[in-house]
Amino acid sequence: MNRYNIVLFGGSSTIGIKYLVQRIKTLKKKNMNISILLIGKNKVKLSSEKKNFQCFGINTDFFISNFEKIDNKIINTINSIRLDEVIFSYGKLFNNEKKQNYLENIRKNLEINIQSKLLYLETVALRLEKQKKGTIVVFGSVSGDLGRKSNYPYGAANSALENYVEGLQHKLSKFNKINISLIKLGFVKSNMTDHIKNKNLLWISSSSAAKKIERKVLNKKRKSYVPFFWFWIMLILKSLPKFIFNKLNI
Amino acid sequence: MKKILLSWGNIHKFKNELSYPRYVEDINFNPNKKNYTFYGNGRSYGDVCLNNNGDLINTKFLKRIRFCDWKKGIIEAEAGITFDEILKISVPNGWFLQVTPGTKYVTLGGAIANDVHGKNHHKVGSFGSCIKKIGIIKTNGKKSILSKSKNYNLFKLTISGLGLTGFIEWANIKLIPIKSTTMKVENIRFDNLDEYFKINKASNRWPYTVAWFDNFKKGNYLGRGVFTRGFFLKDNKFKVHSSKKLITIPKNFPSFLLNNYFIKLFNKFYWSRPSANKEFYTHYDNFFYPLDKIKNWNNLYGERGFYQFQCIFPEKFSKKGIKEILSKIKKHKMMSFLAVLKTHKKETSPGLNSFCIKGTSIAMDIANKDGNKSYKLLKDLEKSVIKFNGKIYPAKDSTMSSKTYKKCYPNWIKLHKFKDPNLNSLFWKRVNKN
Repeated sequence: MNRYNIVLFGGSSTIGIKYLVQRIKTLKKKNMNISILLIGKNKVKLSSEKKNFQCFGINTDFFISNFEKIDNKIINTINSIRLDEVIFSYGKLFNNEKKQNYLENIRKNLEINIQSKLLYLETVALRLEKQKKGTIVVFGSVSGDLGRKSNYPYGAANSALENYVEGLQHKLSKFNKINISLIKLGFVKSNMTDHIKNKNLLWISSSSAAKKIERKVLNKKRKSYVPFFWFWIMLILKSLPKFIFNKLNI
Repeated sequence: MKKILLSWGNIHKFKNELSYPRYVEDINFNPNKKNYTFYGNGRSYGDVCLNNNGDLINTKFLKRIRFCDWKKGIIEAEAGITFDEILKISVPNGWFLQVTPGTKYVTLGGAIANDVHGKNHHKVGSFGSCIKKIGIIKTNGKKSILSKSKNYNLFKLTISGLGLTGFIEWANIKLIPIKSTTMKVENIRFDNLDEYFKINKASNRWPYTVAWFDNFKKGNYLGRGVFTRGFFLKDNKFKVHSSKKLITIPKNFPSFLLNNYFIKLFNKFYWSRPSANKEFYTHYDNFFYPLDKIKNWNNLYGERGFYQFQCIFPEKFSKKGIKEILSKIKKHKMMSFLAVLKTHKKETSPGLNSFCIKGTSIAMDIANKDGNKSYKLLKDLEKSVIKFNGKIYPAKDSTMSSKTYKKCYPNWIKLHKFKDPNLNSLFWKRVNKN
């Protein structure tokens, strides 16, 4: 049986776990011996995920990190194992309408959603360059397409992430066996969005998102919207004249 | 924002604050709120999993497996896992659920809270008999492990405790070994209740038995039906069930289609079809969970929903009790196409408020008709249950009075004493109304 190592940054993120489960289902059909490394901030949650995966015969381990700072232990581990697939699914959505700790929240947003993510991404990319093969899946957001008053710090982080991923894709384009996919997620029901009470038809479940993401990754799409209709929604929003856009409460 | 969450009967439509914790750690009990209810997969027919103006905590994401031992056949999982998910992992390893009800979509927590039973009750008792340990969390945050050797009293009360003794976080259960996923099944037609009891007695050695009956028949054919018995083969071939559905019943299905004429026709067909008197081999999914093939079959009863009535009579009064129930159904002209008979042995589950006793149970669906017709019938049936010292099953009930509940379940007082003060349900409010 061939080994397949997966690292998930955001070890208790709903979409990350659902995507991982989807990948495991597919890889098991190919008789792969799967090992996973979960990196996340909550020990109890990671530990329950670990036990669950182990019951399904998957070698699982985890590291604790709050993603506010770079952890050398994680970097050393990444550099010491063969990486077949690395998933970046962590992130934090700060409520920027709260006046309390306003600037502190923006700082944390920069640390978690940009700083640590880009540094880990670069480390993984360097490793893949050495291996000359591997897959990176980065979960971004449609919020990166357009700055809106409701979540522009988060949007800005995703915009930077998109630019960085494009750069890495360009840099590693000479390696046929390296695939970097940026998935721009629309409204997906997850732990990050549980606090939003009114969920309309634009929302999809995380398991449905996971299936769609896998299809995009396996087809080596460099950048894709999940669900796809968000491409059109964002295109319309971006094309709106400013005097109309400014009146929208989004 | 308050929303409506339904139980399987689609009758009770009350708004509650809903939450969907992703991990047990995400559950935060507010000490000022005294109206919490846990909702699994909404497979109980009545109101045990519901509330009104309360806080409904849906456990659908709490379904991780904590531990499994395929040598001993033990699995420990969070309460929101369904039997469907347990079977998907246990069957390829040669293990099956010791007790399973007629649907595989019940959650582990719900099965414990209602102490569910299945076609093998006469051999192994209710679900409580396979539980080794339960982990619960009280709303004050206190965690406890319950087992036969630790907190036994609370263990007995939590099994069949209707989810009121605390949040069932996880449970450790024993599975049974199987050597095949194929079953040998024998269907035998019977002409009346006397014949049912005869065949049932002769089938005592069969591990799984159940009977469907036609509640339209009278006189010499009263209780005419089809007796089904089966056992697992030993061919060492394992094939896990598929999740594919044959058909989905839409939400606003016209309920008038399910009228007495249609049911009469269906019952006639079901009794006279060739396979109603035949030996055959089938997959466990077809034997245990035939209705799971139809997604949302509860929508057949339309927007008004339906009641499910299940009662059990002690051995001494089984025949008399069932006969009276059947005659009352006919008197009220309310027919059911899903009517089931099952003979039980003495309960072995430790649950203090478990439903099963040594005797025979009868279960049937009753459409929720206009003008209190169905309600009147259920109240009339309740009188017969009391008359013959029977019991009504809380997991399926929506109408039982406080007086009846307290008579059927004399240990209710212990449950009342050990109930978590901040947990409640529509059912509990109803049966504790004075």
